[in-house]
Amino acid sequence: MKLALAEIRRRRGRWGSIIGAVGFIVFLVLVLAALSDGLFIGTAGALQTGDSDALVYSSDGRRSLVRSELPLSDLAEVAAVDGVADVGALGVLLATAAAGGDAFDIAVMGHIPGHAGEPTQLVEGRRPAPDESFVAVADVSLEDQGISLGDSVTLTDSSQPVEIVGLVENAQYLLAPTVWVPLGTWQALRFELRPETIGRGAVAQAFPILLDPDATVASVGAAIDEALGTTETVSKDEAILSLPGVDQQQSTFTAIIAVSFVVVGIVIALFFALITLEKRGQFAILKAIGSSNRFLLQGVLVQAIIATVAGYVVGWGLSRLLALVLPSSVPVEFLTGTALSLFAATVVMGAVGALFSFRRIIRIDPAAALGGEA
Amino acid sequence: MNAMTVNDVTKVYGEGHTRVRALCDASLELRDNEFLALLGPSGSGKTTLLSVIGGLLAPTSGTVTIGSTLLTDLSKKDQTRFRANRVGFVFQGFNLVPFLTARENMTVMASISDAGRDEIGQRADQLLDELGLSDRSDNLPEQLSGGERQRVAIGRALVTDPDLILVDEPTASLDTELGTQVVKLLASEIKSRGKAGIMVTHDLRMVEYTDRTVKILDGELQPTEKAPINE
Repeated sequence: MKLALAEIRRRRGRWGSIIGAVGFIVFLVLVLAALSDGLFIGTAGALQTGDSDALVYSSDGRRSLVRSELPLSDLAEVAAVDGVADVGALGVLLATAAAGGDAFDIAVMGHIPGHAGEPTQLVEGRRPAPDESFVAVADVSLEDQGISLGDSVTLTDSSQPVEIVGLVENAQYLLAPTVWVPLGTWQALRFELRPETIGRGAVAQAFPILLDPDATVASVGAAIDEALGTTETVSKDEAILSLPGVDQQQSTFTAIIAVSFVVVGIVIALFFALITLEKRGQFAILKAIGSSNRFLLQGVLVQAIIATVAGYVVGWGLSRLLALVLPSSVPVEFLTGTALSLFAATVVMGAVGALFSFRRIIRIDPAAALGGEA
Repeated sequence: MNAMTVNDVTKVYGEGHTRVRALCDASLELRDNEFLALLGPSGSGKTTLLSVIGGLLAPTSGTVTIGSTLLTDLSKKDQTRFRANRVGFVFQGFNLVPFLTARENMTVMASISDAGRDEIGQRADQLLDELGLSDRSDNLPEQLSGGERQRVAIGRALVTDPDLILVDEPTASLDTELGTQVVKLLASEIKSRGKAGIMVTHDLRMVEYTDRTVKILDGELQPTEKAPINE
């Protein structure tokens, strides 16, 4: 251990470059992960941070909030199913709004305040009361359009402005800012913007549900679908993966990040292969004077872990610097959970990379130390 | 009891056409407090013999006993441990760990052998003093002269207080004057501690600092008593 540490301390140039190399890969991975997380939250935040365990769709809706439609009269029946702790309603209206002359996309989310499905991360202001009309909590991303707490938003082709009374975080839908209005207001806006829906009566597009602590999505979902006969109930995670593009985004980023980790492993493996080759003589001498393989391998492992931990710190620092200068329009999210799992993965890959040189070190013959061969 | 006994050791490399007999029925006894020179031209088998004695190379047949331990009977792992605690090595060239200071090159033995850190530390300071390296103890090998480096190597060999010191061509990288100084110092360190030592060399001039010389040629030992040993 002391020997391994002394080598890093006294060979700073060499170890600095490996730490730098690992650092840059970690930086790349962290930025990719932040983009992935940012894109994910931007796309699925409305469901992800929504207060629910599962969502009930109409069976012909193919798990799409836009295609699915359920009569509100079914709510009571869902609430009566064993294992359902609470049920809410969710409706989506994709619209445009204008602020200062520029039109932008906006998602109007109808919900029942105080029930399942409402956005959880309130940061400012208050929530609408269930019986209020034309008031909303908005996702903070709406501020990028110059709209703040207390302002009103008017949808294109709508005559009635919606007042923003609260702000929530991480509640975007398909990369658009959201305004969360009581379901009645959503219904009114929908009739106004989509007159063809008037004939269908009072509907929602999905019922978010919360389960009792000991209930499972599978069993409660099956019970709901059997009781109503016209629904498909899926867990929140499945619902998110069914959003357009989410599954593809996730698998693309996961693949890129996985490949980057393989690169971390290869970089460490090559580095140790190289210095092992160079230190053959030294290893032979150390073995001759009585070092066990265990002692030498421990040292290599400690060095690999130090190099990857230090590399991670460098990469993390760089990513924080980048986060400071990135414009808010770039959807990046630096999440602590992601950072921690990437840290663990980096160190593990470093250790795995170092393992490749173990066989080579074990095979070094201490007898090479004599006769001037070393 | 002898410090070391080599009994009928034969070492054969390769098979068939490439078969080379590096050592042929070599037998050798080393008494306590005896410093012996193993003299021979290159290719004579002297390094092979030293490797077998140090447990670095398994003989094809024959045994090596150090003190009361039958070294050739130990497992590879136990031989490694035995070397760490009971044998000191001084190599050809200098072979110090390049990123450790003179003192650290000695105290690293605390991590390798079973000796305690304090014990090794005390002995290292004493050896640095005796070897005239006190003011060089914090220098890295690259900041030391060839003679100083070889003195550090001597210190590393002695710091664990081993029973047997094995020395491989200690003057190979030094000029005659420095080489002589180093061998004289080595001899006095070994003698003053009452240790036994074997030095492999092809340099006749170094022989006068040892108690006895054994010549080796084509893998066969040819004992030539230099002086009677006082017992």
